[in-house]
Amino acid sequence: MDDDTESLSETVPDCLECSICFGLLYKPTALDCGHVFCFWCLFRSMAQWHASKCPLCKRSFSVFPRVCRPLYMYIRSKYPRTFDQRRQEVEEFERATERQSPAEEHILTPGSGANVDRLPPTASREIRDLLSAWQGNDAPQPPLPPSPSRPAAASGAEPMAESGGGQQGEDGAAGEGDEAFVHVSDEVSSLLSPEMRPTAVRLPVREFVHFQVGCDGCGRLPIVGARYRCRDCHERVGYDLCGACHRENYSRCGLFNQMHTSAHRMELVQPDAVTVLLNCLHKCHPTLPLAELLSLLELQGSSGPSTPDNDSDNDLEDETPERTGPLPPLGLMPDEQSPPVGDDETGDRPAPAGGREEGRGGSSA
Amino acid sequence: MASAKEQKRLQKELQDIQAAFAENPDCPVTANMIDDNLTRWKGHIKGPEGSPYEGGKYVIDIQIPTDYPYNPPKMKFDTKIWHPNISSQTGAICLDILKNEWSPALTIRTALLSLQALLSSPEADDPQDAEVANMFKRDRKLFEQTAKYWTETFAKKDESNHDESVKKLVEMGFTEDQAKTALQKHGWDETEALNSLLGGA
Ligand SMILES: [Zn+2]
Ligand SMILES: [Zn+2]
Ligand SMILES: [Zn+2]
Ligand SMILES: [Zn+2]
Repeated sequence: MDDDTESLSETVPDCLECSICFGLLYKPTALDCGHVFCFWCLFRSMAQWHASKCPLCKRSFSVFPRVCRPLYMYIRSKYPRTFDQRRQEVEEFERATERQSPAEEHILTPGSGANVDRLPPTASREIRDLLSAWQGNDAPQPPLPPSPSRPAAASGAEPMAESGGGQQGEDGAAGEGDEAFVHVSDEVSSLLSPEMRPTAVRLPVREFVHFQVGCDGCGRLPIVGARYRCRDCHERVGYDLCGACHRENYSRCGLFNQMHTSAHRMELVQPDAVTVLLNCLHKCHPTLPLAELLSLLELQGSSGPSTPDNDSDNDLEDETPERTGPLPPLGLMPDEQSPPVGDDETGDRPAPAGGREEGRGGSSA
Repeated sequence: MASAKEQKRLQKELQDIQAAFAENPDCPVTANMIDDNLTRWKGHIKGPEGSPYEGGKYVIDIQIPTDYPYNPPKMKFDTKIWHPNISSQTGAICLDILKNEWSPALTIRTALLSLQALLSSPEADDPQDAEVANMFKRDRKLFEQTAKYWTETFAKKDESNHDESVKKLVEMGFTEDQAKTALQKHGWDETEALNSLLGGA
């Protein structure tokens, strides 16, 4: 960038530098362990199948936190030139990957669903001192808004119990009782070796892991249990809710700037073929890491009539082919550094199998 | 395909590594980019004191994946080495932080430092080279002798004479680049490098 030299006049303290991109924190998100990263840097570091680990301290977490509003405001006001440069970089990235992070107006509006009001108490001393000194001086904060309808889940306070996908706090989402099982279609079943067919293995809905799909309400990634999707959000990432958020009629904007409203209609998602296969394999080999599940998935697929990542000419629930193809790759951190099944070159993920809903992958993909 | 953001980080990593080296030429690891391409680097590690690799200088081939730093750099030893966690044939490395335990907050430099630490403390229970690992477990003395012999043979003769060899060829009228390329190609054998330079001219 040609304004590099200009930004040198702003000396950013180390504690405001992201340890992933090495730049000034942009749209900062803070984990419960207190470590702070840029919105995209953290999201791209998250695992898509089981719980994630903090890039710095390895503490497990399952909830993608929202942007820390006061820290965002502080950085924007103290380092305007560097901030602007960062904004341009991120906008370039977002254009290339056809994704969006929360818009500034949503980050600045308390209770919008796109921000949190404070740093976790575990955040570093330096960063907390910077903020508290500043808040005392030149930026009187608006009084805290009345806490939103469901503060606990919305603030992402409680991480998933454990990794692995067997965990679930869901007790019977609407129409998804404890005893509900995922329906495995004949086509999918024919891709499986006999010992994994639905006659032998049943997948309880409450344990079902929606690979690569996060909840736009509580931020949990991946969603485990019932998954609901908005029929009216037109953004390609889609808008998804977990069973708990859906039950509470969560309706604020999405984590990726989706313009969701309470007038939108949500529907229960029938998982796509790849995700069902993955869950079947996981059920039969509960201790295998994702990388090996994915290579098994490839084997299962190639022994069957068609591979799950080659959905152009088979019709595994493929009802909406008119919708544009998969989003450009994001370069996510694959679980276990596995080579994905599908497109190796982009290093992203298995090609979509075409769910009933357009695209797949929900808000996280 | 790395976006501006990732390019920027890599450039910063390179600057930091080279600044550290400029400040202290004795630092245990360094790296440089090859082919003016941020995706291909060579790392350099000094064999740790007190290990059979002491005095050796090891070259590491580093490839940066397009989704770095969300995926680890691919590293392997160019210099042959006798170590339970490194293939004596291919130089492939078995080290957790280059696989599942990678974190995007790690860097090329920290990865190279971990490699150096691995040279001091082999993990025979998680071997890359079964033959070496067996020897390490069964006959530690023989293992140390072999590792030292490999250090003398492969990790020492090169580097100490490299500058000399380059200088000689430069004095004969070749550019430094020409000299280095030819020498690298011929395993730093001056005669062969010279022949190829004369032949190719
Ligand atoms: Zn960052
Ligand atoms: Zn942490
Ligand atoms: Zn939720
Ligand atoms: Zn919507």
